[in-house]
Amino acid sequence: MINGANMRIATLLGISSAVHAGAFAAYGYLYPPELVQLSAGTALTVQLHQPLPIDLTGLSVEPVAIESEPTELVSMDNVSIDPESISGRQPEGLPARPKQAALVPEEELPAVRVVTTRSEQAEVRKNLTTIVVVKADAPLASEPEAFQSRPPTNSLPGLRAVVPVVVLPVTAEGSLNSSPAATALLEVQQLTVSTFQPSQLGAALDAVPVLASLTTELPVIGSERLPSVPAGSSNPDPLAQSSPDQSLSYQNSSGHGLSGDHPSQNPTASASLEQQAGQQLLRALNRYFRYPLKARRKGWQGEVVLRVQLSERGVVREVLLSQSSGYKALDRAALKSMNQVQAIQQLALNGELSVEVPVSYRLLN
Amino acid sequence: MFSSKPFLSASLPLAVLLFPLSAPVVAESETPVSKATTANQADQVVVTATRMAQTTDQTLVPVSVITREQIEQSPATSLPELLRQVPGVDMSISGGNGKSSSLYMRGTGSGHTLVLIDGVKIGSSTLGSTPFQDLPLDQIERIEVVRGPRSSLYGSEAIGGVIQIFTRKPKQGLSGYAKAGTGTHNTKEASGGISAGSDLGGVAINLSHLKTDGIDAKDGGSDDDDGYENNSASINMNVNLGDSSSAVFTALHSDSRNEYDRSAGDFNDYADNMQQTLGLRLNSDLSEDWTLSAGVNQHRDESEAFDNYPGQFMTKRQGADVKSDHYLAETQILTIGLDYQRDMVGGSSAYLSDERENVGGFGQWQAEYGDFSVLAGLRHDDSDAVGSHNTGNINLGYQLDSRRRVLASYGTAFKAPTFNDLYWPAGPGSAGNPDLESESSESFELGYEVNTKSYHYAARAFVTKIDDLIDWACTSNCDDGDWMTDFWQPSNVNRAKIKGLELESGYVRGPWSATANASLLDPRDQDSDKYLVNRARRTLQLDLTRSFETVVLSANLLAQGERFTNESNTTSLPGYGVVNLKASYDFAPNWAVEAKVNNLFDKEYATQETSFSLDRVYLVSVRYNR
Repeated sequence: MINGANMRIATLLGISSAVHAGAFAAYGYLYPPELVQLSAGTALTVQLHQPLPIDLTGLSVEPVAIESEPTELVSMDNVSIDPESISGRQPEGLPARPKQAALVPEEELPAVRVVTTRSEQAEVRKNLTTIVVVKADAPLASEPEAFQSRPPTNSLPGLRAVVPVVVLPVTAEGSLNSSPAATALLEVQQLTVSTFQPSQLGAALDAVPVLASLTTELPVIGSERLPSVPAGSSNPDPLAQSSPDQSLSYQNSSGHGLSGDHPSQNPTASASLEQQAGQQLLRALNRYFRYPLKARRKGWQGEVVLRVQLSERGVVREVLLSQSSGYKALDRAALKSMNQVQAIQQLALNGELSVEVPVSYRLLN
Repeated sequence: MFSSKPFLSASLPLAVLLFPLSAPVVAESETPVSKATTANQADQVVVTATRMAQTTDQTLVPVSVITREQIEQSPATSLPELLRQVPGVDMSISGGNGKSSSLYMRGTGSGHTLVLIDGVKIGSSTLGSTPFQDLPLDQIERIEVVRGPRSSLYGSEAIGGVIQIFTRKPKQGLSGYAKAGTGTHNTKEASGGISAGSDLGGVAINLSHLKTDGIDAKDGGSDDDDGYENNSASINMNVNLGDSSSAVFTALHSDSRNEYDRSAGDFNDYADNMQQTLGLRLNSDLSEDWTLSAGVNQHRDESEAFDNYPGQFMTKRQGADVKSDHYLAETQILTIGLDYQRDMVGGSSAYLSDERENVGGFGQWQAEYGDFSVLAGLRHDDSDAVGSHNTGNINLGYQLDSRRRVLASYGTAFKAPTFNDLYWPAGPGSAGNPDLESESSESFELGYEVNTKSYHYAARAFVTKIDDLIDWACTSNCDDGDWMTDFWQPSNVNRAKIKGLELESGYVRGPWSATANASLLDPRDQDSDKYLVNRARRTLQLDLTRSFETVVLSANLLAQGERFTNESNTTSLPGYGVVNLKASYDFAPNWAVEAKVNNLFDKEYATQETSFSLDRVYLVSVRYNR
């Protein structure tokens, strides 16, 4: 009997090991580790604790289009619109939306590790997938000691993916900071994460030392890989050297890819990246849409097409019903949900944009 | 007798060891990134939700839905075999096809689950049992299994849960199928159906036949094979009456002959059974925000035994109801309703009373406020036999993010005594007890769910307390020292407390789909602290399906721990594990062949004392669809 019990336990352990090994193997297969793409426009705050070893003298870069008003830097979670502030049509029978909420990001701050040694910089460059542009909204500090005693700030909870980044200092006006003061300590309050690739900056990037790399996890929207960057593309490149401005203007296209009649402003942007940006946007929108209880109860399904008028800053100006689903409940729900989106912060457009957003309501099972 | 092979004969350790698997998935789910939704959704916002189950909304109440597609992919050859793969369900089957089966939902008793066919309550009013074994899978379109109390919506019996079975519905256009199969134990089956539907309405008619020599169902009694034959037919018809109204008629009739061993000695005991459910319902959208529904129905359950104790038992139940849905807002529904039920029993036993009536009124309110949702219900039942009952429930849900949800609920429920309990004709030493109270229960539950397109899992913990459980007890002349004069009657003597933990998970990836469920129960008699009889305390259910272009393969495993067979917990049936396989192959346009292997490893086991369970059986069938 004891032998029988031991046999049973051994069998179970064997089965368990096999099941676990199989399941973990399957898990690894199903969810391979992957690079993540930072969403453009994510608002973060970083503090650098050492003087920036940077000298941008002589480097000329076109101003980067960075949203300067805090409202647009807030993630969409916190945004709501004052109905009177836009010309958007209020669907009949809907309650007025609440007044604008406080637009202060509440997240904890990610720590930044300043990379100083040459070998570390080389390591970060090698793995570089994303470039972070820092907007200096505080004057560049002249007293480095005042900051050195500060403890590092904390990480964002519940997020993942450590991403090698390069931090570029940018003035409040939006241009790359090339003043001599940049060599002093820089305290920045807002970090705009942009989906630049190293090749987009080319030699301009190469001229800028790797200032810092984020050592903690960043919020992630979207999980697709960026188009792979050839190794060494951040090394000096005679072609890229001549066109840093063109590279930087890429940000203007980061919101493309929406199905819509957007005039393409940037022929150099890759189509797949546009599409990715569009997908990201649609996924971001997805969170605002819910299946109305009544439609679920009645088994209603359908596709609503909304026409959304966006300002050049991505602010939702007007939402119209372009095509009905055949069910008022679904049409109303789609309009209401879209109206809850104040601004699509990834977008930095070269003008007003009218896009069609199809919203498909599907019941499973 | 029951050789304890090491193979999966104790399921708990496996279930427990499997559980940590979900940990990495939990971590994964905390980012708002859904890998499954990133692909192929380039240009639209896709808003999905689960279709609301008709029995109750599954966003707040645990409901397992089995679709026709899943029935066809399942290796199960009968309804009891299909249901025993559902989380929270424990089936006790006394033999092969057609042998009586009892369902224990979440450790509650076999009469504590309300079973409906197309909204009509089924089962015997005398015995209080439900003949799952006599309902052919070929007649079933969809099954909804609700766990937890729902008396506040449906009245008596919904203590452990509710199972609703829907008959085959008409589809748009003209279609039909025919199927014939054969297998071990001289099993022959044939079924066929036609369906026609248009904008005006539709009709579906399905027929099925099963005959098998079976196995010797009982350890003891006659050693012959105990066969089974079933013939059934269903009609499901709907007519659209203008734009906003429709009428639905449903009918299911099942005739069966079941052989068993009851008499000691070499007799060919058998019983003829008949179930028939009829329902007619009118639905009307009186306005955009008001839907009215009214129905009448009838159910008959008849059984005639031909053995050493011949007898005939008949139940006829008539019902009518009216239900009104009010959409107070797009995210609020108020339902109020009234129903009436009359049970009539007849047959060879002279019950002291052969009829009773129940009137129930109920209200249910469901609302969503952003991430918070609530479902609350109250019901009052008034029966001329067992008095009145008030039951209620409240279910709360909070959406943590797009995929994670926490749930909490509280509910009360009751079960009215059966005609046998109340009115069994007096004999020497025993009689029914017309003074019986209903059994009443109280349940609490906490749940955590994660739902995405590609996977879902849930953990639920619950406690159910049941008072006034009915059992036979000596009620007079008990202390005179002479047991011959003792007089026994069904009495409200027992209390039970059931604690349970359920873990569910499901994964879909490309052509693969898998589910894994584990259930741990602590079902105890509250006075003796012994385990309740015939409940498996550990259950593990695994299903795996792989679809190819023309081939579908599926396998399932059921592993259960031991179950005690007496109240003092001194005798028990050992745990077991069975594996079933199914393969289907579309070998030509409109044609398919399918093969099932049941109990692949030929495990000798039992879920009912002194019964045998099916050995390894093969079943091959050919199917024509168009």
